[in-house]
Amino acid sequence: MSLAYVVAAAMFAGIVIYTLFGGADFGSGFFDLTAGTTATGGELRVLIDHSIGPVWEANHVWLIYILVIWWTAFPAAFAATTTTLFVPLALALLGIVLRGASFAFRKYSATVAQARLFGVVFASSSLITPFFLGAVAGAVASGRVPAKGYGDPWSSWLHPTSVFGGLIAVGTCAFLAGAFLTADAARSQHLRLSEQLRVRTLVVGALTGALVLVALVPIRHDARSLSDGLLGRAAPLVVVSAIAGAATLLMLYRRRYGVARIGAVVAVAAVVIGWGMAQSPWLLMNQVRIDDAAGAPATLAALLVVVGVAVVVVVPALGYLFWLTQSERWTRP
Amino acid sequence: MSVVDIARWQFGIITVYHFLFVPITIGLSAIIAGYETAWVRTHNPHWLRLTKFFGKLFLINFAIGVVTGIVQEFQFGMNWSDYSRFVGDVFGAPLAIEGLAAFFLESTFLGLWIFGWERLSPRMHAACIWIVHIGTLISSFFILAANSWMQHPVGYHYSPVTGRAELTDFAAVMFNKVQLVTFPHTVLAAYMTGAAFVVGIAFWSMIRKGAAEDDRAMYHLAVRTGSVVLLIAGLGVAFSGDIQGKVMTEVQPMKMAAAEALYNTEQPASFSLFTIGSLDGSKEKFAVKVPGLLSFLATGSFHGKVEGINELRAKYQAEYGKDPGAKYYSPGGYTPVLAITYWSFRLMIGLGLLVAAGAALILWITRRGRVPPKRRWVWLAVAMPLLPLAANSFAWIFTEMGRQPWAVFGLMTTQQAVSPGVTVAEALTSVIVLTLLYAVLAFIEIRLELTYIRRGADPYVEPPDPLSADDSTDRPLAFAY
Repeated sequence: MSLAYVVAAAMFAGIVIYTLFGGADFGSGFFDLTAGTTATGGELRVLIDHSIGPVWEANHVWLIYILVIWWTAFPAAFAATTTTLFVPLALALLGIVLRGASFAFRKYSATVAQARLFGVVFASSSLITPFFLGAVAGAVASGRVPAKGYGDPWSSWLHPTSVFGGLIAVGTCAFLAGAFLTADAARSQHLRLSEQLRVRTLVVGALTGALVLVALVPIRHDARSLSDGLLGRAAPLVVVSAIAGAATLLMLYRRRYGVARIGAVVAVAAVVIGWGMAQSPWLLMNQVRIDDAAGAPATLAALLVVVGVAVVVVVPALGYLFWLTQSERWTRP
Repeated sequence: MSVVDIARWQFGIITVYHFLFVPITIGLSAIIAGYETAWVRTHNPHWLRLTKFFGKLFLINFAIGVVTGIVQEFQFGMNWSDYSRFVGDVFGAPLAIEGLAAFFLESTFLGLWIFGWERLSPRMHAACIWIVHIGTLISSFFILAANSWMQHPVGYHYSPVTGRAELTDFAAVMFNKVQLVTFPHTVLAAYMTGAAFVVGIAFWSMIRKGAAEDDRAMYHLAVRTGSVVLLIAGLGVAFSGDIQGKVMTEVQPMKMAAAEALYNTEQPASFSLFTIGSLDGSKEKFAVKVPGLLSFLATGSFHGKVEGINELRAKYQAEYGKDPGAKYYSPGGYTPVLAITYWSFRLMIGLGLLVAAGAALILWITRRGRVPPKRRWVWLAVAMPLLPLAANSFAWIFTEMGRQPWAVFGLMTTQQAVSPGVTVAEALTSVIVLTLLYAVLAFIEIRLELTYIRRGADPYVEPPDPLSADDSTDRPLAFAY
């Protein structure tokens, strides 16, 4: 395995982690949006704030991690993607800025009217952002990004793979968030809330699963290479994902929230890793191979050292933070 | 307007904007950490109340710093794709560390700090904000290493095969001589900024009508400590800036010549405090000059020789070819926009001196527990936080505009750096949307900060024992909805 593959794997690990953590983070916006009126939704919104408040900044650092490695290790492919997918990236960016700012503003807003306004902006940008990031992934995976960049600004992402990619991303985020929030609510003894979340998560999970099945048909026509990879080399992972997804729904139904969380993570991680396998050895599907896109060896080596140091420095701290937020002591009623 | 113009405007707007929040984050985190440590050691409730008061203002500020930082990363790919391609190999390595280690460290420990008041022991809790501060320092080190590389590229070789600069020596990039002076200069300026933020706000809270006696005593503490930090950091800024000027003269002599609009080599060279009339060197102008000062700033000796723009231009033309910027820059090429370099250099220094003078004045009028009258001094409270923000902005405008026409000195011009295929309409849309969005964010942010400043520090509550506390976190007010 070449150095370029190791770096690509490190970057892809970032994508998987961002999908999980950032995804759960984004998905909480869906539940915030559908929490209900001022009077009835307060409890859920407090729970959401409590759950993602300590971690949202860290969650979005993963995006920076991905961008930085991509840019450093595969500069030409980075430039090709950003110049082709200018529009969806700009819209995702807009969503990220609005979302982070309004989440913080809501917490500190002085009146209910203000808080409601920021809350709506936060929640709706939580849906917009993953949609466009999913669309970007769909464009890359269906070979829409030419090696030299400057693909068509519209048709490169307005096609079935990107649109379904975006929708699936939104559904996945909501599903992940639902699994985590339900567990959080149950652990902090908000039983009425956990029941409400359980039902919604079941619905979201079933819909997302159905969406994935439906999407397979257009993707088969629209993105042949991706589809071949998913049904070929990556087929075991797709099966794992389907089983884990179904198991999650079952566990939620039976109110085994702790296990359901794990199932949701496995289901999402497996399908994302499956996409990575299906796309390998292409960095930009059918356009640029990982080996050909790599920068200078000294840079790749330096980058790996950096990743290593980051793992040593950051993972324990981040782990501690998640342990605290997910532990009993933190979420007492 | 060309795409280059628009892309530069966008870069200028969103970077200057981002850097309003960054130095506050760096400086304020240190001061808050100091206050919290003081509380842990003395148990004086004033320190805890100040920690929480400025902590809240800090958090509102931090969120905008984070989101506007993400925009930066995207913009390199979108507007400056040729630049990304060219330097990604080199520039990316320090940025990667920034993103990976420092940024994670900051956001993780800030998360612990926000939500850990009742769950961590006081010492652990104070340690969290110190780690956040250390994260901001690591972060600035690597970002500045990347910027220093653009001012003075080292540790790379140019590969004609790939058409890119490729990293050969990581340590050389990290310990670039420009970096070694830029880092202390910038971080100390950030301490000045954070301190001025504290001083201005605490001063206003102290002199406002109706403040309780005990609160006045508390704000008085903040005013005094902040002013002392500001003055010490200010000395450091002046000292490091002086060394930086000499390094700059060595690696980018044109920038120093442009800082004075010095057309012809002089020995010794005088420094004009201000100039009325044209700077183009052709006409007689009225200027107040300090003899030998430019020589001193540039070389360390009042009799040193400072090269002028004309000589340097001839030199650059011999080294880099006739004129890289003919299509876009002034017909002379190799010369930055003098009106901007000239004035931004003076405003940086002048405003920096002014804020230090403000701190000294505040120390004097608050000596031995005095509380000066509001009517007379309220302007000072308003000016203090704003002056260093303006000084910082002019400093960056000077150092970046002074490097023109280069994006990477001697290697790539700004014109070559821009994304070739982006249309004027696309670039214009993006700059307009971002500017409007940022304006709205600034408006909300300032309003929120003002609301909390007016509300003042919360009353002291005995912090609960982390092991037996109930969940009574600082509940967001607005969650009534």
